[in-house]
Amino acid sequence: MRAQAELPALAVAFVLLTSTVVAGVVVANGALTAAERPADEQRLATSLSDRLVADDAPHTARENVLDEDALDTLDEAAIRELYNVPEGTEARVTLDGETLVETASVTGTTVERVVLVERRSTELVRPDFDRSRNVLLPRRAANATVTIDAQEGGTIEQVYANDRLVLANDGGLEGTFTVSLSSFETTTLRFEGTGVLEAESVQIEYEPPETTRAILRVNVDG
Amino acid sequence: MDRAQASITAIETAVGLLLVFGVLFAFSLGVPGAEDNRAQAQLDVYATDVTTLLSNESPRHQDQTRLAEVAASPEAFDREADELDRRIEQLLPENVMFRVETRHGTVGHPLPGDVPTGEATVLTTNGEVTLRVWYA
Amino acid sequence: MTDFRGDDRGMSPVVAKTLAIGLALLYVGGMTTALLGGVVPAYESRAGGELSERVVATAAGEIERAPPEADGAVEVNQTVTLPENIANSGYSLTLSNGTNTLALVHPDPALETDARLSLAPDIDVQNSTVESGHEFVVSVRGPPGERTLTIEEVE
Repeated sequence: MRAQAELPALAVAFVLLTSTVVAGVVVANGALTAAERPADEQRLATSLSDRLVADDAPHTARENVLDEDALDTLDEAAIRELYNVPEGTEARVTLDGETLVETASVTGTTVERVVLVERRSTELVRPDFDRSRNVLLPRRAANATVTIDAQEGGTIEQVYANDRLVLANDGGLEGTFTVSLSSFETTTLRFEGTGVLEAESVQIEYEPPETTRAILRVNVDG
Repeated sequence: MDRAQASITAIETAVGLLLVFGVLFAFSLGVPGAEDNRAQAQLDVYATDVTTLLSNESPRHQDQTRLAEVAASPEAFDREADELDRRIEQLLPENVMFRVETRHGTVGHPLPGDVPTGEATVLTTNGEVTLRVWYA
Repeated sequence: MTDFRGDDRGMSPVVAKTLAIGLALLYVGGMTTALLGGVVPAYESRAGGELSERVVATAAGEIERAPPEADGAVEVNQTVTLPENIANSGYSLTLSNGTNTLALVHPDPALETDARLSLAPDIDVQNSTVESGHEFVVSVRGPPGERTLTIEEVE
């Protein structure tokens, strides 16, 4: 008798094929899951971060530069109303790890932006006019407030900022004036006039901005 | 004579399985996943942010902005290259490497071949400056 | 001369093979029905859903990026190219004013999705619709404070 190994071999073949089909479906499922990405969350995180670092946001001084004093205008109401994050979508904004605003704890997608945080400090310079009528302002600023209180013996008739005439009065300057400066170069103020300038005649107040780099993380869960 | 017949069914099975595994192999090679896409988008955003900040920064000596100064001439480039390198290093996060390309030279690390790279180009008054970034 | 005698010695492999063919056909038929009936449509709609979500995210991203930051009257046209079909049929994108939403309309309701747009308050969104298969243009026009945004098909 010859053994016919047909039908049991067929049964074994069916079992193998079925397990291969199951393996195939599992692999395809894995591939599809790996290719899925949270497209809408990514889009929302990107456009929210774009608007948060834009020039016209209330808490920014320029594009990608945040104003430290104005950071508290960014609160949950602003996120919902001004930045149109809908109910049901949670967002969290942190600056160098410190949370600025958080609607709920989130895990979704994160976009990081490189920003500068600008701090304005007020500097006061009282020149003593020892050897020259020039005053060097060591830090750059966009403008300065010059208070002139002419003492006996000297009057100030013109004030130059880096050879540009900014204040002039032939009868003598007196009072508080705001002078605009170039923020691209350091400024030397020169006071021209008659007589001897006393130490208390001039007081200059200016606000040089100081910037530090920070990472703004915008996290959206939808 | 006692001879068992070679089961043709077993051979058919083997061929069929080979066919199916061949198709499965294509899937298991992998598809570009979510990670690459997010890394690419994040790198592009880093590059755009840094070029925006640099193009609004005052230059050290002359010209309109720091980026315009670097692209001005070979002498200006040689003078400013190190400072630009330091400034970009300061601005970018720690694990990100960069390369700046201008008409007169390049600053930074050599470009790697196979990693996602973000790019931003600024047109200054003295020509184009391109910043490329990638994860270390 | 040998006599031809009828016998049925050769029947055994014929029967066995016929049985095997029948069983194999039954198996293949059953497996095909199971896969095409349950597994494949599920994956088709999953892939279709992923694609429609990406289409809406891309279009919404382009629309949100369109308004420029310039002062003064602007006219900006940004062309966007999207896939012709999702799950073998065309679709349309609708922009609506009240909620600033971009909606994707598709014959299969499981593939319909929408996205809330995050735009500056001074941008006025106009109700507009584009069909798939054409490129479309996001256009922003007007002076600051009164800008209008629409999507239109490119002829």
